[in-house]
Amino acid sequence: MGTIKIYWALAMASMRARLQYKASFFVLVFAVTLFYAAQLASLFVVMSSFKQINGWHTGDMAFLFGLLTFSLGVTTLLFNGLQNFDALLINGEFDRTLVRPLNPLAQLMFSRFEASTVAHSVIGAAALYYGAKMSGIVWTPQKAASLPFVIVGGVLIQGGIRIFVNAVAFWTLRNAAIVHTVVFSGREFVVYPITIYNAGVRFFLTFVFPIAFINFYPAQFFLDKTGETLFHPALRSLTPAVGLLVITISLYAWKAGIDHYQSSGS
Amino acid sequence: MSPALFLKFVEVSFRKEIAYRFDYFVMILNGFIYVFVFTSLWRTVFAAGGGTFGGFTTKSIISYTVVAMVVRISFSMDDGLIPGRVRDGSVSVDLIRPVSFQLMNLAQSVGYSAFHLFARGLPIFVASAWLFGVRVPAEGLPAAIVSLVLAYLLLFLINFTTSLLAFWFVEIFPFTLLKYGLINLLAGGLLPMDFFPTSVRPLLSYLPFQHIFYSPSVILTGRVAPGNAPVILAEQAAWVAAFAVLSAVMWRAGRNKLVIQGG
Amino acid sequence: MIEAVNLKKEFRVNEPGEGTFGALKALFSTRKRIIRAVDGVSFAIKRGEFVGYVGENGAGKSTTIKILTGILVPSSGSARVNGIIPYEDRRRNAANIGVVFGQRTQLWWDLPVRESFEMLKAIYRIKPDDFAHMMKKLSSVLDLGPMMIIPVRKLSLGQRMKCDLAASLLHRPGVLFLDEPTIGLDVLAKENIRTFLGEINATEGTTIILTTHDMNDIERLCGRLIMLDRGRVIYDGLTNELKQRFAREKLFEVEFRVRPPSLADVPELEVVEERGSKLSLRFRDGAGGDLAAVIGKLAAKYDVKDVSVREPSVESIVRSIYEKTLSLPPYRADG
Ligand SMILES: Nc1ncnc2c1ncn2[C@@H]1O[C@H](COP(=O)(O)OP(=O)(O)OP(=O)(O)O)[C@@H](O)[C@H]1O
Ligand SMILES: [Mg+2]
Repeated sequence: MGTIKIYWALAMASMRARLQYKASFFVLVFAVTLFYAAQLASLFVVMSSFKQINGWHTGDMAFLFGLLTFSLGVTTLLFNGLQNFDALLINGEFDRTLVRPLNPLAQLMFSRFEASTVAHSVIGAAALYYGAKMSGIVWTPQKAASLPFVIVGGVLIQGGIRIFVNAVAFWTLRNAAIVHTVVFSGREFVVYPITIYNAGVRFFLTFVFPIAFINFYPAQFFLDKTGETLFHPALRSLTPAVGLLVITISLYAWKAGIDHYQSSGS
Repeated sequence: MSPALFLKFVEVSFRKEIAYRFDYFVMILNGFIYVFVFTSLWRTVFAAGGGTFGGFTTKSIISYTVVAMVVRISFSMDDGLIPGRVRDGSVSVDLIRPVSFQLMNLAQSVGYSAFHLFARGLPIFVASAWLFGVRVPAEGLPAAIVSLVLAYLLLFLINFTTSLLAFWFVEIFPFTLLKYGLINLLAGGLLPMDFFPTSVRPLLSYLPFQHIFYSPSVILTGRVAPGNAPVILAEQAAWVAAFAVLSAVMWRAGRNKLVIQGG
Repeated sequence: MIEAVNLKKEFRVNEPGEGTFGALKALFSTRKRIIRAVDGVSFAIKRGEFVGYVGENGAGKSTTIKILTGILVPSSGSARVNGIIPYEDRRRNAANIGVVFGQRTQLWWDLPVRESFEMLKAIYRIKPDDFAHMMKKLSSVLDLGPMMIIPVRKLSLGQRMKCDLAASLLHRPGVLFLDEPTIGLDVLAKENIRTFLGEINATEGTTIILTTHDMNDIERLCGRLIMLDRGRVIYDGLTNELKQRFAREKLFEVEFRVRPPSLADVPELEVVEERGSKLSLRFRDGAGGDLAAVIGKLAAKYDVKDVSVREPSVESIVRSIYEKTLSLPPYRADG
């Protein structure tokens, strides 16, 4: 209980620090909103020309995008503290978290909260809402109850991936390229239904780098895409389980990374 | 600034990029992801739509995608450089150096981009040319090279101008993000302008963005009749001139602000 | 309280290539070089001691501190702080120690100082009463009052260091590690901090390990000195003892009424420097060091106007040791 209070205090302090720059905070919210709106716009440009991608129509695509972007917003809110982690490592600031009687990862997470990520979530929620409406999703109780679990699962997958790629920095020091590739470019794969890729890549996005569970498989479930089944229909409801798996693996990697850091000093 | 000094700056910033080998391999992969995602996307939708759309065939859209992507990768620039130097005050060191700040930054940017051209652009182009059978027609090459140089200058100047905002704003990340949003959507690096609804296309031609990736890519892939290339080059040059003037004015104002208020 | 037994720490570093071509080649090669940063360091420090930990740049001071604070795991050997093995039980150790790294702050850059202290209160689970007591004490000694509402980024270096010191002591740690806390400070600020550290050591009984390049810090504060050279301890003992051991480093400033052509009658002394009728003298290597006898002899043989004896400063001794013009006898940890 006491521990939760400590992290809460950390998070609030980081919020207050952030709000020292109020103007830039609001500009940032605005910019992030426009950035994702531009992404959504390019999706609409494609859909205006081609009408559908492998049977996914504009509403379906918006829903797919919404699941991805909404959970991205929550992920960024929680894991923003890991941004530029390699710089903390290189300039020695990470040491500070090690001389305190708290968990280093939790200290990082809670010490640079970024509230401007509401922008992702707003765009994501709007895309989810209109996507669901356009594609005429029938909200059965089962679907409505599943949505939060799917979001949490998506957050765990993305958060786990961030922890994992930052753990890599314990060995390589500079990890900006891998973060960029895995966290930001990797996401590009699942803006579109993964059925557009060859079998190898579908396998990769399902079983190796399982980001298809953030949006593609659950969207199949919500949109009742019974016509297409990849691998196994059960995958549609596995997002929370995959999330737990990913976060567990990544925490092991993080632990190994800290051990390595403490023995190599770099 | 003498050409020799310019090249020295180019070399130093090129070398700075080599220092981290792990990054290097990852960055090639990063570039390839985009090529792969978009070629897969176009194949799927073109196959469903009968193989042609907006003047493209499956083959020509893939050529366009690969070429535009390679140009985009080769034009990588370091956005954080100037804002970082303004924030920690080291820009005042640049002020007392007897070289042009703009040219020095251009030189550093060229070194940075040259690394990305050789280390990422070329391998990705070679691999894609082999995988997807991309060919670049030779007759458009002279015009394409001019167009590429102009496009590079234009992107550099847009980035430079945005960076200079650091003189007035503590945090310029929002502007950088905004710029990326616009470039991703409107510069033709991911989507050719031909796919935009006809109602918005005239609007796009009044903006500088399509001259960054779209113009050089359509010339390179031979989608522009040789007679039309000079018109495009002239438009590109006009935008370069406009941003050169804008950035010079901003640089002067920023420098004065620094000198008078001490940052 | 603190115990290090044969601590060793090795670092592996990549050999960077030379020139653009070499750098390109290094993309694909994996040549490593091993650096022994700490090479068999042992010592035992008792509760309440104030120990100076000195050595040239790169001697391994910070590395030792990082091991003792649980940031690094030693390659071999062992360490205990207050009975806890820091690198195995990092968090429990962290609760009992305070750490200040001179070059980096542990405060929240964008927040007023007071809020940083409030944060630390939460992190170290300090009881409100203890916190209030400690805050009162620290802010009266360090004169923190005026700084409390200022964001850390706007503090001067000296003010920030005061706040950082206070921050490291709020939870009343038994041990305080200070890695170059006086770096970059002016004479006055250094003096303030020295006075404060002396007081904390005396009133709170805090065991303090201080690394510094300023020997005045050592002379003022540290009863005991541990000197490191390329990862090995070359001296561990009382600071005063070091001075006595190098007593023959004492300088005699002698002014003659009539300048003698040579000092052949006092063979124990040699000339270090001469300015007209003033000579700086010191004991010749290997000569016995009976001060009174030598001065008596000097006065008897020559026409001496004035004699003054200058104590060697720790600074000058240490400098001489670094420059290898002085050498310490081989040091054994168990002796
Ligand atoms: N993380 C690391 N990786 C590789 N080498 C390191 C690392 N940390 C320290 N070293 C090397 O170990 C040696 C000892 O470094 P250390 O920082 O302990 O010295 P120091 O005594 O604190 O020096 P200074 O007085 O300059 O602070 C140096 O040669 C340094 O280059
Ligand atoms: Mg050090």
